[in-house]
Amino acid sequence: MSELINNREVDVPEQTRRQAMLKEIIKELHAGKSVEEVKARFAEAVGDVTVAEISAMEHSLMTEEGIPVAEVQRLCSVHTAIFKGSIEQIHRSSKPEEQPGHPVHTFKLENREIERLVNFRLELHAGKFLKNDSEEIIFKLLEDLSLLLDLDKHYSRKENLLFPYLEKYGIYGPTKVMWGVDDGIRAMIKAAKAALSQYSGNKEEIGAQLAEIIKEVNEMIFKEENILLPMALDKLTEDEWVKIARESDEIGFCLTSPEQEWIPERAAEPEGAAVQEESAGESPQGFIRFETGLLSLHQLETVLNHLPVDLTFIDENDVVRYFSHGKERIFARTKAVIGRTVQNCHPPQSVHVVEKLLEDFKAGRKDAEDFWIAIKDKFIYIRYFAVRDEAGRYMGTLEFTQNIAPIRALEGQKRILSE
Amino acid sequence: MNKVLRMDESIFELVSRHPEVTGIMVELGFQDIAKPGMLQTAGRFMTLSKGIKLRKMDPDTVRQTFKRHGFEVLE
Repeated sequence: MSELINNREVDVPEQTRRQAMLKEIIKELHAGKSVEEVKARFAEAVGDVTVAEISAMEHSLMTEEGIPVAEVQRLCSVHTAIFKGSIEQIHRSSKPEEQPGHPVHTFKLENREIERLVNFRLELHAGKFLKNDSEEIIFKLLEDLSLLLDLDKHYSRKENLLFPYLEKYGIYGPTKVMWGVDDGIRAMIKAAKAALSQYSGNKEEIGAQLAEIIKEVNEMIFKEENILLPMALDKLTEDEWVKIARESDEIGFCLTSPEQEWIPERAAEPEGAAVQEESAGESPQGFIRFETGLLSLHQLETVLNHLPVDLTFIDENDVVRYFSHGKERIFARTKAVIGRTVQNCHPPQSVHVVEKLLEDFKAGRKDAEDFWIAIKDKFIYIRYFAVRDEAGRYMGTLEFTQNIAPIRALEGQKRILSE
Repeated sequence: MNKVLRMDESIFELVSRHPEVTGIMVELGFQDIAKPGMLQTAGRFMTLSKGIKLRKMDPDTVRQTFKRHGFEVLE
């Protein structure tokens, strides 16, 4: 399904309408109504938007409308009350982040090694050093610190692979703050190494440096595992984690490495499909007989890719089966999505929107749903159709995405060939 | 009457109800929470109990600090 119902793109007119309602509600709160009284109207105003969208609205209420922060914060408490339920309802059926090779799994694996190095070896050697600053123990400390510098890779993967995705979802603050702390830790380790390699009897000073390193490294592990990673799991799609996992090798790992490549669970090809692996460059073989004609697979695929729309088809089990890949695809799709359930292609926090639509299609309450959004010079029209067989049985959903800006711009008539 | 907080509420929730919690968190040494964008993001995952664990603080000190500002901290 498209990024639209991810709510990554903001629907401008809709947002204006919502903001108008929100402002009304703020005024009522201001006039002394209780949270309980406005709750229902608030739910109506923001019904199925995501937390991220609300945050964006709050932000614009403050900056553009000049509504005082305190007022917006009162509103926050209302939306927190309402959203609590819906956020918690979104559960993940299996936990991919606990599977070996998942970037989160790898980060935690490294953290266990870092903890061992810092809390046992470094701690032990630092203690010994304070008692007896022998050359032998100084060498041990230098060795520990050199090993510990390996966490540069752990931090670099976080900063260069994970942070860009969080920033894509509008999370800048924590990434900036954390990057600063990472740099501080790197500098501290290097400084302690330098001080030890030209040791001049400043035992207490170095002891304090080491203690600071141990404390900061541990705090960073805590922040990663309790804040950063849960936040990232809440935002990133499985595809994004796959990309991070694939690019991780280039930067490398710290003190350990994932024992296997992470391959997310995928649905198998439908039975009887008997797809032959064709060698690269060769056109697919075979013909498809339709009620109204016969096309070679090659013709069919090429025709579909020439349609001025992007198609994506998910089957009756919500598994992505096909997408067309014309020249100007509006929302990128990678082959990795084939065989995945559509729920896995969306950030956990907006999955409920997808599920609601599919539920309505399956139950026969709806046959189609349209969305349209303006992104820069494009006007994107996204349509979803429930695909049903002759007997009306649900076979899947077709997503149909088109940039209709040029069509909307048409005026008058054109009856002659272009030059 | 004292305002009441729970240890496992997110800082975002706490500040939403009582904006002055930001100042108290800073006083306790959590300066980062006052930085732009932190409350809306990391603040949704941070709780008082996590903060105490992170900084290895004495829970009673935290309770006392909040008490001085008119808050009661529940478990």
